[in-house]
Amino acid sequence: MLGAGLAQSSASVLARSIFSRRAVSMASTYIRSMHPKTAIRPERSAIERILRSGWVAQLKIHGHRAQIHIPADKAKKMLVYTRQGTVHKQKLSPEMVSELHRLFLPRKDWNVIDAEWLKPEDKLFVFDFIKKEGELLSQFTFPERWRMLPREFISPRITVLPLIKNVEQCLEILSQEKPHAEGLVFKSRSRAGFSDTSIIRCRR
Amino acid sequence: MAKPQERAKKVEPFKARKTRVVETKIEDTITPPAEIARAIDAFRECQEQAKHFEGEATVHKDAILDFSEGEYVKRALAGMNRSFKVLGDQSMVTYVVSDFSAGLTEEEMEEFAKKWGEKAADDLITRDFGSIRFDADVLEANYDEVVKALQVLPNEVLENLFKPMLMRAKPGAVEIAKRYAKTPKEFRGLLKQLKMKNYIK
Repeated sequence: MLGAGLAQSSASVLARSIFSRRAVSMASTYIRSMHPKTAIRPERSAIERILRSGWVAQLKIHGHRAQIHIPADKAKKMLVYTRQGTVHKQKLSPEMVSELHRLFLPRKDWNVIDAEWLKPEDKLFVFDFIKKEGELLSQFTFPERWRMLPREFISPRITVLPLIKNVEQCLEILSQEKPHAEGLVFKSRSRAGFSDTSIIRCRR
Repeated sequence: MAKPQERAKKVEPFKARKTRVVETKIEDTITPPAEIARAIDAFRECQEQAKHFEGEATVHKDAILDFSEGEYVKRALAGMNRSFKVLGDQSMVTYVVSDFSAGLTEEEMEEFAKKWGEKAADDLITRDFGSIRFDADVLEANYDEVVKALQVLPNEVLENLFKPMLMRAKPGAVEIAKRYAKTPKEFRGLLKQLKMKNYIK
């Protein structure tokens, strides 16, 4: 309660006060995940160099960034955050919720995945695993986290974006005019966590 | 106008820092002299190259940071909690150790407390008072009430609580400014003094 928080405002850092941002804490809070701040040219030489440096590529889908928090208790609501950490106004469709339960339901606590959401098409392109059964996966590298994602499944709504490791595939993707695909992102294979220096954009 | 006595009593507590730049749709085009046209092309090319090189630099920066963080942890545990240089073949970088941390959000603090415990949170995290900002729109709409409410604070607190308020050009100031300048040169000088935030991008 705000009043109680104010009364003990000089006590614990966890005490709420008028300077606290949210009146009510969400059941599972937004986690700041990696976001590219820099880009390389969509050219063979640049791509060769980045792959040689031990990075890996993934298709970059142009949708709405959706960090999805899935509770173990199906009766609880899933939370879908934007890249800014606010909750998406649009709700997930019941079909999508059902698919997420089928593929990402944790045995305990919460699972958190990162995805691009194509809202009109009701499709999700999952690319990262942020938290597994309550454990933040920041001590793992991106490929390690990606390997924890389910991949052997067929779904009309959900796709786990594959990892691309060779230059020809990268160039092929960049040469294709596919709707919603805006290029590639490259991610470090060696550095653990969600640092912004571990991700680079490559637009066609 | 307030009497001098009243003015002395009533402390003006605020500062306002940021000027919001309102972007409008740009439809006008100008054809400049040839050397400016060349400068525009060169500027864009350099920007493009800089962006690309920044991207490539990120790959190397990430590798250096990964290594340096690992070394730092070992050194700090051995009692060497200080900056160090990391040598390249022909150059070097410095891994700078600082005693400051970047702003932790409430969500991150909650996550921290959940993982390491509330005692650890209290022992290791403190409030960043410098991060407190007013919502400018709410403040503008309720300025007098907020100032009045703050008067309950002792003067010595109120006088020093906020950094001095800055001023900015009024919306539409450029149009009004035309009345005060007789020549383009004067007008340019006037706009400079108003610190109009015109820029190229």
